[in-house]
Amino acid sequence: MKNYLIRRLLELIPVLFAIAFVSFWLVSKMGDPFAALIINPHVRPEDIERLRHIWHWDEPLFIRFIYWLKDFIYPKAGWGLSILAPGRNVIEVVKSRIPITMAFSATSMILAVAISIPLGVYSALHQYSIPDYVLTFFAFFGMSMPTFWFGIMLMYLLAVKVHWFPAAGAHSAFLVVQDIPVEFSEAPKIRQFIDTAWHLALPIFVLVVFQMGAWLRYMRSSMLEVKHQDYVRTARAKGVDSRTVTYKHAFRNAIIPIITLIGLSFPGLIGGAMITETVFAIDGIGRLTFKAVMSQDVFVAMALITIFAVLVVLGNFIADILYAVVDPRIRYS
Amino acid sequence: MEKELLLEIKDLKTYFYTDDGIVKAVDGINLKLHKSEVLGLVGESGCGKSVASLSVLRLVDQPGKNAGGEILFKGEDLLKKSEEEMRKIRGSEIAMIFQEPMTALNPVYTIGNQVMEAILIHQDVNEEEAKKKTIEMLELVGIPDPEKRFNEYPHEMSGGMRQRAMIAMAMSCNPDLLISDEATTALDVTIQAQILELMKDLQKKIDTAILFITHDLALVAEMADTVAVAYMGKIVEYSSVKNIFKDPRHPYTYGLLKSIPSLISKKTKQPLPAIEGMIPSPYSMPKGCYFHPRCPFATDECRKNMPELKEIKPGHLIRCFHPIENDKGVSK
Amino acid sequence: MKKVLALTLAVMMVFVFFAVRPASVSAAGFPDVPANYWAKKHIDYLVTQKVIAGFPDGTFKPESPVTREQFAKMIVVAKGLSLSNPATPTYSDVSKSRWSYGYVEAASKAGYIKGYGGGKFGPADPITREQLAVLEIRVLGKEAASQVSSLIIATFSNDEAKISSWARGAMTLAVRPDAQLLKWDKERNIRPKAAGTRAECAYSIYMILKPAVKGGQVSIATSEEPKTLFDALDSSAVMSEVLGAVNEGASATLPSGKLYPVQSDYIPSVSGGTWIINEDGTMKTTWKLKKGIKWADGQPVTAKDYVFGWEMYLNDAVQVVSRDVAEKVAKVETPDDYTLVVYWTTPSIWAQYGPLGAGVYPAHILKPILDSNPANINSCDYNLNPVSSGAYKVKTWSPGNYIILEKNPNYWAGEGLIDRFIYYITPDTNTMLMQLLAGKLDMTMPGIGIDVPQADAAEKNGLDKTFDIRYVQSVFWEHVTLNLDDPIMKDVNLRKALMFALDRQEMSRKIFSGKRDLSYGPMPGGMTAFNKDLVGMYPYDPAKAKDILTKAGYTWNSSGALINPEGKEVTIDIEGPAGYAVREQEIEFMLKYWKDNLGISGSYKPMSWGPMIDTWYDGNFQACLFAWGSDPAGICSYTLYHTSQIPTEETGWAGQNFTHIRDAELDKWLTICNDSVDDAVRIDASKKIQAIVYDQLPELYLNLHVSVWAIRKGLVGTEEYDLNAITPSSYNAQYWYWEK
Repeated sequence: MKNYLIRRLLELIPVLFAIAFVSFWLVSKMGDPFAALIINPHVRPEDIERLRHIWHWDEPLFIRFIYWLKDFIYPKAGWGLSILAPGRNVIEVVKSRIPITMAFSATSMILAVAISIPLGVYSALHQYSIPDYVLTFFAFFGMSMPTFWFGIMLMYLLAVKVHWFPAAGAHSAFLVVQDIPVEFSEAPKIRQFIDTAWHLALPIFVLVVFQMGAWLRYMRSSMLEVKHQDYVRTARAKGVDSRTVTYKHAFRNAIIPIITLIGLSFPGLIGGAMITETVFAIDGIGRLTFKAVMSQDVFVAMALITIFAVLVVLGNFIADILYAVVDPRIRYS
Repeated sequence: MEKELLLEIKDLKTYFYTDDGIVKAVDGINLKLHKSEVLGLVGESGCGKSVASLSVLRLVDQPGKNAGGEILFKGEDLLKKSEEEMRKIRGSEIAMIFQEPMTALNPVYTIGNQVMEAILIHQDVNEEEAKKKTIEMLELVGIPDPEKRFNEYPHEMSGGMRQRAMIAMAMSCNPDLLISDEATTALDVTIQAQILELMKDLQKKIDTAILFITHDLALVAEMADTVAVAYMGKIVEYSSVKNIFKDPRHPYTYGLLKSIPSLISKKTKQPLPAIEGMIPSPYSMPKGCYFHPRCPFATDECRKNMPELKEIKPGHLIRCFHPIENDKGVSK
Repeated sequence: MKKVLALTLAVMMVFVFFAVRPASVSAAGFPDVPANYWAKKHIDYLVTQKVIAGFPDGTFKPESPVTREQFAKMIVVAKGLSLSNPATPTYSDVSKSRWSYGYVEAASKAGYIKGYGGGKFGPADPITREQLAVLEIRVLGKEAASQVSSLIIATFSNDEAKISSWARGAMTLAVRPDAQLLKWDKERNIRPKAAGTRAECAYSIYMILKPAVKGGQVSIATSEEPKTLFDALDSSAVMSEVLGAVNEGASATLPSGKLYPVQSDYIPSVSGGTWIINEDGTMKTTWKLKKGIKWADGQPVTAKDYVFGWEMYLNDAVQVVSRDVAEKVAKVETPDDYTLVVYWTTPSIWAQYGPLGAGVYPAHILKPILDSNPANINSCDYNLNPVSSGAYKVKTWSPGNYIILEKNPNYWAGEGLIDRFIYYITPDTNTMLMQLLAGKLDMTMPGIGIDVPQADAAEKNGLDKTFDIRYVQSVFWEHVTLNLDDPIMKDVNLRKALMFALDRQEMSRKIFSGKRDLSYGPMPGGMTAFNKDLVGMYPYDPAKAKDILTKAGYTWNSSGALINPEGKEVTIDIEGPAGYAVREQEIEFMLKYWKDNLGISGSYKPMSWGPMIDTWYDGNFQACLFAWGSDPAGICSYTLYHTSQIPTEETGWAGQNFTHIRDAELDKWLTICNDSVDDAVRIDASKKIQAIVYDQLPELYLNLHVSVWAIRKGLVGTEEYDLNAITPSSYNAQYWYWEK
């Protein structure tokens, strides 16, 4: 098993290298990041050449890539300087957004999966009942609802019409602690947590509703398939009570494909949801990706693409391992 | 000596209410099974024998429903029992083994776990004791190296081993009745023989009655004491195994027997006589006797009315207007 | 008979009632104080407080000068002092029998007025604005503060030198945020010697009775986030807005483009001898910095910091966005810590706009970094936490979330009023609208806030009850760039016809709800150098358009298509930046007008920026819909229209004359304008340039962009800003306050 893991990990390296190079090539194809500067009449061609030289952009593609790769692996310069944020290097830019993205994306995904699984099981066990139809309806509703519309509608209803939730932002600038307005970063951690949670409630809700649909349907259909398997019948014939039949025998098998899907959704933990982030003014990884691509910030875009690639590959890897863990049939192939 | 009556199925009906119509899978099954007896239930695929056996344990799923009859087990009607009561019976008093051991065993749990489960449910022992018992059972069914096999998964064992394990699982609580639903059909011939041996062996050791369901008359000859022949959800002939083979009265039974390939027919190179026609669609059963479209002896009466299951000789019941007299022809 | 008498009396009484109406009764009533008069609110208030009243003829005469005794009365009444009637008059020229005796005495007793000295008061003399300042500072009890030697004299005006020595302290305090007693005129003069008018007195007394309120905060949403707060390294609208009241320099400009001194005593001028232009084209400017200015961390701001800024700009490793002005400086001398003598290599109008063509930066913080490794400047902490010398400082920048500005405790010219500004970064303008409707914001800013469609939606939702939704003219002029080398576009007659065939008013009405004004060339109407004669040159006149074409030899074929004199069918292919819904609408209208009126078929090709810009440099386009922004100082548009500015490989692709216009007369005026350093000459040349350009039409001028500025009602101080130019709207944020 250990050899298998090591072998798989080693296989990843050339894959990642290839992904990084192709991404770099594509990102470079977006255009010259310095071209847009020419519009400003105060900027002269020499200035642009100067900037180009600093960033090694005047070298051929492969050389540029090697410079970038060298820095990525040994981040002495912090993965390069961000054109988006001249004051900070790329590692800082990306790192600063991880906490809020995790709070937002990861929570949504975990909640979506955690809610969908029991509901999916329930749906399967009570196929064609009214609750099943209701849940199916919500599943399709959630999947079809465009997040930008749903987000704004929720905002309008719950933040504007009534002020139950804040309209946007990841957290307040000031919290009132013992009658004095205190800046967020200086407030007690528990208050920070509550404030952030209150701000993220609506966007998380939007994402959960959106994602829940798919997970619910997966769980439901997996459970339905398993329900009719022979071993379920055997268990019942043994006199196992229906609860145990459902959870020990049926569910344990039905969850296998779901677990592998969870592994494959791994990038979604960091991936962020660009549209929801934009609507709710949450500056997470999703929004950063969009900005980086739109403003041709090569270094940030590359860093993010590579991170995503790593996550996708890792996710696949984890999915494989998880699959082997939960399904004994796979273990010794 | 008349042994104690263990199971009596009276006119059992199990219908499937589908969107396309009502399928009368079991439409009047009558059986009697005594303690330690082996009853073979024979018939073609689709004749309702599996459904009948599942009905005994009340394991028939939607859209199937019981539509009448009685299932008396130890004198009590199983159809009237609560689910909780049935649960106590399943696996401990009545056990069942199935045709396909690979799919009938849960792939994610070890053999030991699955066998132990039955013990833990029905017997008041702790895990250690249950494990010991399990290993004993595994040994009893002829699985070598049972301690090691305890931790193995179904996919790590051969078909024969799996079926043995299944039997171990079923017999672990010393059931009074074992229902074997085509348990050997999926095995190859040599393994089949071994499993049959094992079953016979256990039957004597644990003193279990067996409802042996199969489509293979040859197996019935080996295993059963009594035989019931089913056609389209109804029992058409019921007698001792000797009678069935020596003196079949129902044209269907006769046809079945005739169609068994034997060394004689091989030698004489005679074409294998098959029963004409096919079983009718369950959605459109023929009027009158269900068998009449395929029966060479059918008359108008057969086409109009359904014959009752009647005892024509002591211990020999038949459902036919024109039972075959002897080997030679039809008596009127 | 009695009945008739009674009836007559009653009727007469009714008439009398309607005939005589004291001018003070209706506050909305002065015909010469229109609704948008700058001091209307103040006049109205004082009238209700009976401090001041209108004339019997119903007018107010706001521009009339006020005499000293009139002012004495005003202030006594305003402060509710009882008249004083001492036996002996204090002043020899205010006798007991004078109507203003009681008021003058009361004011004197209260210590407000002290007379000229020698026992004279000069009651009938008009009160000068500097006298007004002195008096009112006394009323506010700040006389001692105005005479303290450490007070840094600063009135941020171009005529500061004209203030009498005894009034300098008072005028300094009078223009501070907490007083705001006097306003500047359009030329940014404080006019110390001018007579105070009735309106001006009303205004200043209002500010005494209802002083500016300290405290509170302003929550603002912006659609973008600055990349950095180190303004040398980037140029973005949001960064300018955030840093508007944070950064200071030697000088500043009003939105209209008018220059005025901030940290320096004056703007160098030729007439003042502080700007010397030599015959060989080199120049020398001398700047005098005010003493005592501090950085937010308490360190003094001196000439060293200005020189450092310039050195930093010229360092190749620093990624400064533009340093072409800084490069024109040959050398700088600092005879003392507060004087800069700057030597320029070429004539440049920019010499007035700042000592060295670079910003001023805290040398004590940044010089060590520059000396150790200049490249580190680009990523140093200053990007996130700049140290500035303006009225506000950056307290916190939570990236992606908000930026908080706080009062600078070491600010040298009087504390700002608002405690803090919070800029919330809200990328989606619909979300911004929601926040406005939910009451979470006080403001969205022009250019980086809600746009016209959201403003319309906001009004529909009743937001205009709590907000002022203002449409501020932007300096971006929407136009169609034409390639004059194109065989069809090279004919000026066609270009004129295209212009006459466009109903631009209709377009503005239909597409922009009438909110966008028409454009008459590269100069927005609100700027001082705008040539007013151009308005009305191209009304919508399809008949005239056809006439011009016919006279020029154009014909129409049987299917109605326009054929030019060379026999070619006239078609127009317009390109434009992709992704702008309003631009697609504009194109639709234009193509329709040209097709219907002139029989010209056209097509639209939306493109992404890179490829579109490439077509300009290749000259590979016929027409392009676009918008340029005008620099208030760039009134010449040299790089847009001069023949030498056509970008080619030989010129190193310098210049922005993408229309390829080559006009000798135009070139002449462009050169005059660009090389001159005399404002009057430049403005005159600019007007001529505008006239030629509007006549020759290298571009078709459509409309001026408009920005929405939504401000919560009750916030005073934003009224001055009427043009979204290079000056950010927050440029005077230290004067803003919440009026109770």
